[in-house]
Amino acid sequence: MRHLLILAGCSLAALALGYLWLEWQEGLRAERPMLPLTFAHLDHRAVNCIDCHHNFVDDTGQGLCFDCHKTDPTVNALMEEQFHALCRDCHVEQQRLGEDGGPTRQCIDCHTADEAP
Amino acid sequence: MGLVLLVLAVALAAGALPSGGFWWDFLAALGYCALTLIAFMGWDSESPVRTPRLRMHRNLAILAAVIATAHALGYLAIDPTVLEYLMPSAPNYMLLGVLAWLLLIATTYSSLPAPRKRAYSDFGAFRSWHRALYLLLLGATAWHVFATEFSLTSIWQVAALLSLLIGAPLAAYMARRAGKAAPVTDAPAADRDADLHPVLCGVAMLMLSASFAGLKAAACATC
Repeated sequence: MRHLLILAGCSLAALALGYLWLEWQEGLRAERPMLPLTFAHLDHRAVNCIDCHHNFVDDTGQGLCFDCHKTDPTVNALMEEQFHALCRDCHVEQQRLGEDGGPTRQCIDCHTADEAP
Repeated sequence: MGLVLLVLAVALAAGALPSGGFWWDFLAALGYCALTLIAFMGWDSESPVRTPRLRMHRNLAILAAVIATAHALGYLAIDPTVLEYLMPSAPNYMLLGVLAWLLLIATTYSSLPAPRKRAYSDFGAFRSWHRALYLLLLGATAWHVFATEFSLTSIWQVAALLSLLIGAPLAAYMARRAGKAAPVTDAPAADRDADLHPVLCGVAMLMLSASFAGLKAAACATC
């Protein structure tokens, strides 16, 4: 019985700590500065514009991607997850099809400063 | 070693492309080696104090710690941007990798004779804490590997890997328990296992990892 109570107490404490950790982490993700990023727009001419620029059709904003995705508190904590899913997963899929799909694994292949906007 | 080979084969299976380059895949393979060793050691804890298996158990733990350290430091060396994955804002599956490494070092170090005597009042306390730390370590490692999804991209790979990591050591453990693991030579099985040299194991794992990376790079024409 004593062991069960200890186990239940530890589980509750772990859940509470986990919740606090996730809350704190979400704030950190929203506030952290962006990593440098390079993007070759011309290399993506074969991709349908609205595959990335969803705002062209759903009226969710204007300007550069990061104008919303870094500043909008409803999505800025998800930026890494969303852009990795958009860019990296597409590159992975292209390479799986035997086509040249751009960087997939090494962070520095994308996260390096662009020469010009 | 056969288990390591099978685990790497699963990670290399169809759907695991693309390659991240030789060194990236080599370091990933080292991570799989460490995972395999960690999973194997959970079933290799049969009364280690009373048998020569203790030496092998300890040597493999130290080998796992060395390989896991090389896995992490290697990534930092070839791609400093990976440092972002050590920050508190990093994805949790990466932070769990850091936690797993810390637990591996703590579990291994605290089981060496001198620290163990200082840290634990008796053998019973050591065994309880060692098991608890191991289970946390195993959970964190598994979460890190399966959630990262760099090589495991299909449900079949995940299922095959889980079957290997749970099934193979469990089968070996059950066979040993049932006394079916009869020695091939005159030497007792426990003595032969105890002589499994950690350096040779490490070298074999390096070679397997290099083969994994080479094959993956060769299979990906556009990488």
